[in-house]
Amino acid sequence: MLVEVGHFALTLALAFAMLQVVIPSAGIFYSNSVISNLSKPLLWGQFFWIVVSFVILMNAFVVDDFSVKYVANNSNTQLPTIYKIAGVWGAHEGSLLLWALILSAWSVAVSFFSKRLPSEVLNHILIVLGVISVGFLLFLLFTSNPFERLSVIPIEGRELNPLLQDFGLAIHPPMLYMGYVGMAVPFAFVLSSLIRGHLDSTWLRWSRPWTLVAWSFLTIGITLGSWWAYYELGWGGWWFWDPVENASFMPWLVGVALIHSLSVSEKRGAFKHWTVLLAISGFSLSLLGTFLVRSGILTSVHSFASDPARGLFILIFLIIVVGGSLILYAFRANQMSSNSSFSILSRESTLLVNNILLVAAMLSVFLGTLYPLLLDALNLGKISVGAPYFDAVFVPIMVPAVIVMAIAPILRWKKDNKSRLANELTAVCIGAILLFLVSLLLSNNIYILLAYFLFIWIALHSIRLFIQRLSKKGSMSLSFIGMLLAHLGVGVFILGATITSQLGVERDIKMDLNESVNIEGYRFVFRGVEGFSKENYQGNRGIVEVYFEDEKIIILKPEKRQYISGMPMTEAAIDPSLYRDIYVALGESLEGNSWSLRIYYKPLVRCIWLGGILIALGALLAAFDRRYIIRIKP
Amino acid sequence: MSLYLWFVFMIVISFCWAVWFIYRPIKDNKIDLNNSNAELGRRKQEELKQDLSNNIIDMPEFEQANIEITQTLAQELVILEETSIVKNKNIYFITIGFILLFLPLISIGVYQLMSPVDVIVSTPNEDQKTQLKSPEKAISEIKLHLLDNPEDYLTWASLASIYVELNNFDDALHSYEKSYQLNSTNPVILSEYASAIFFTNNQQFDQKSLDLLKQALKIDPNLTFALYQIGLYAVSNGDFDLAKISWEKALISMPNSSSDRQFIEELLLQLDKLISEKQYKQSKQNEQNSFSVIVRVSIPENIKSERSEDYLMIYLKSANGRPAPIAIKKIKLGEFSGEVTLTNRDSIMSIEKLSKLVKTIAVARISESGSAIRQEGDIQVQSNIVDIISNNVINLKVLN
Repeated sequence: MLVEVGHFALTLALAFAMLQVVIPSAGIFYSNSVISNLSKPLLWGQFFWIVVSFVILMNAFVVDDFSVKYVANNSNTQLPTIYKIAGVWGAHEGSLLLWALILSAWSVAVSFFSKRLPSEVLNHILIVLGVISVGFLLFLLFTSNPFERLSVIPIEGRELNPLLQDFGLAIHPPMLYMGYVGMAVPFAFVLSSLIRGHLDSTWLRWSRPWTLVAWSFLTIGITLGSWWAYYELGWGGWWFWDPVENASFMPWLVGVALIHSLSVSEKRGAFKHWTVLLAISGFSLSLLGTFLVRSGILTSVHSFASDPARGLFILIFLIIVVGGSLILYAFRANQMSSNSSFSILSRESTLLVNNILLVAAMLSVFLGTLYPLLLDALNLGKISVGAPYFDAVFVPIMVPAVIVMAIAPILRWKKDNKSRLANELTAVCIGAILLFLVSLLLSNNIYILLAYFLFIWIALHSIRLFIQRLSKKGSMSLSFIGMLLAHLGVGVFILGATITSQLGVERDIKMDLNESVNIEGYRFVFRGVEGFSKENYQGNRGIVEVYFEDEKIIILKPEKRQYISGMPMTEAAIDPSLYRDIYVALGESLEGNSWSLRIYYKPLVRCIWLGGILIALGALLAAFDRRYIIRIKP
Repeated sequence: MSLYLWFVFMIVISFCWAVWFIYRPIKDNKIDLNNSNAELGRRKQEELKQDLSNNIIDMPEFEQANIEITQTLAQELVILEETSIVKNKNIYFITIGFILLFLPLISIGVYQLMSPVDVIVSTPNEDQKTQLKSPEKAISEIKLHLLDNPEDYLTWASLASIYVELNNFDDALHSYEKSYQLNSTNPVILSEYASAIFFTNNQQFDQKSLDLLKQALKIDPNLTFALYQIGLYAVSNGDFDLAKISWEKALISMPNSSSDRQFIEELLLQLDKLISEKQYKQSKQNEQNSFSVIVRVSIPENIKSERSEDYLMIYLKSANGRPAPIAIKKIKLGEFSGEVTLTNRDSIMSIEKLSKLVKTIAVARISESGSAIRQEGDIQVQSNIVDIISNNVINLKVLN
């Protein structure tokens, strides 16, 4: 019965979301603040009923209620409780419910933390968020109902995809969704401004912290996904240009452009058109990502979440959102006038260049991801676009973007002069060249040298800016520190990604009992394999002793698991450190006591995720800058 | 509380929640758009001054930016419509009426549209009313009935099925046993009893549950639930053929309108996949196990006797791939009989089986260390490129 209550709670949430659109709109139309201010309680009601249905679905997983089709398909009695809970968003229906929950949670957060916004503006924003909620709740209820019952109750459920039976799953999708769905907030700000016809300072100022927080979550989500893929998939890679990875990367790139464009629009009143279009694109790309993941038109490691029939609904929703927004923009575009002017040599110009490069980079990813689908759809043949394309197209666009990124904060607003800029840059350039020359002693690999240069370039500029501000009392703000951290994070990421891909060693070898192999100064001794069993799987665990300079540093125990469903899984054993990772994966059993093993040496691989954390932290700090917290006096 | 009442309760709470905020409205924050933009304009000017003191804007540009902020503010100031607080009470009654209609209409309407079970609209008949009672109440009423009618095996079975719903399998077993002792000819009860035993026995079929299922099928060979369970038992024992027969029979026995058909059809589809995978693996295994390459190596006697403790490594490598061995055998030279047979079992990597090789080169190496990399003092001979599909015997000769 509880399941029916959960299902009904979801339909009540839909009713509340519809009321959240209709009633405040009527209030605004009749200029009645009591009615228009009902947007908040109606939103809270929607949120409450979604929470109720989410908790009930979670309970169905925990108590093994296999009468619910979704539970029977994605859980079984042997699954540990943590994965039963995580299983709620382990497949399509539950993850859509999580999506709806997060969207309503974002809306509730906007309703509580927007006390500086005029009520009228806030009501418009909540109406737009309500429309998005209605779309997703309809999608959830009519195509992806997680509460569907089975008439014959199976005695045991199937299984949650073993790939997903991992701590990473428990946190990666919610974080990613926080980012994806969070992009709806700047979109709602922009759309409400377009509807009201007031594209003013208010939406520019107050949408920026929300954009920063959403983008920060998106960064954390992508970083966690990369980390999860690294240790869980057993390939030792951290980014595969997988179409679904690209689907989250595209809104991320647009998010970077939007944050910077907003900063110019907010402070100097320029780039308003650009900002509006970026906000619309950010959310549209989030929806496109959902369409790509849910429709099943892409084949990837994420294919566990696909369903072609449902893709159509999202596609229609996407067309309505993009089309509707662009039509509205076309009608209101003439109201966006700007008094701002700036010269070519100014901070505004560098931010514009970076924006263009970022959008170009996004388009290159967009093309690489969708072009094969387009060809296939037009029956023009099948092609596969992989890492070589993305490395060849994406990297050359991003290198100048990173160089400009470091210079932009040094430049003055509106107009700078060449001689001052030359003075400013001389010391950093000399330092960068000297350090670069030192790095020539370390490597002759062009990619590594480029990575060294970019890291040094960013780090020196950041340090110099930090020291400059330190000397001026009261000039240090969270926004400034956040910017430095995020830029430094980009440098750390570039260093980690390049060094690990260029200097990493990967060996697939057959090892007999007690046989040893030397890789990058480490000696790996294979001590055999032991069997083991856990609640929901059993398997073999290899024992590999690792020596460095004849001293045993660690015993690694890679696992080869066999889950209840019969699906085999490789669980790599990793010895992590900031400087390098040693990664061992157990392969197949060969003749006698020998096994195939995969041994990787990954220098600076942790810098990839450290960079991601720094970027996300930087964005979060900037979101809590003092100027976004001070209240407006009524 | 019945489901029906739960839904009513939820709608009432929702309605009260929404209407409460008409009765006690949320206060406006009194910030109008002009206030907000003016305040933000003032702040932008302050931040501009800070930019000047931070040396990120020059004085002429500062002045220009200051003017631009003022111009922007002048453009942003608009004539705002006044919003009323309480003037027309009708609008509140209309809103309340709208919520009162809309909430149940949408929630029940959508639920009805999607739910195959007619829960809300239909008036429950007497049987349904009994079902709608809470399980605890139903148990106590049945127990009272059983005190007066202890021989009523059907009621014992009903009690057992309620216990099953509550996941109380111990009491369910006890009740089924009572029912079974009173009458062991009802096939439905027999199959349900078997199912209860299955659940209490770590979801394993024991002899008793199997006997019960056989007994049920003897009485009614087309009993769907028993056939379904027999299928499950067969799958757990790897007997896919029996499972298929049982589930197909269950499917035939079901009426076309049965909602269980889809479930059984899905099971059968999965089973077909399992069967074809098993057959494929079996045929692949047979094919791979039978593939072999014989390498004969002729070694002079003096080398054999002098280096009898050394290792002889015989391996095959791809003629046009990477130089690493595909399959290898490593033995003491003293134990070498003159030929070795390399099969898929000797493949180094599971993904690169010997049977996938076509053009190959055979290598024999005598090595004191037995190391994979050729050392000083090792003797090595290798063949020309050989097509092992047409010729699976390769001869090598070590010279003095």
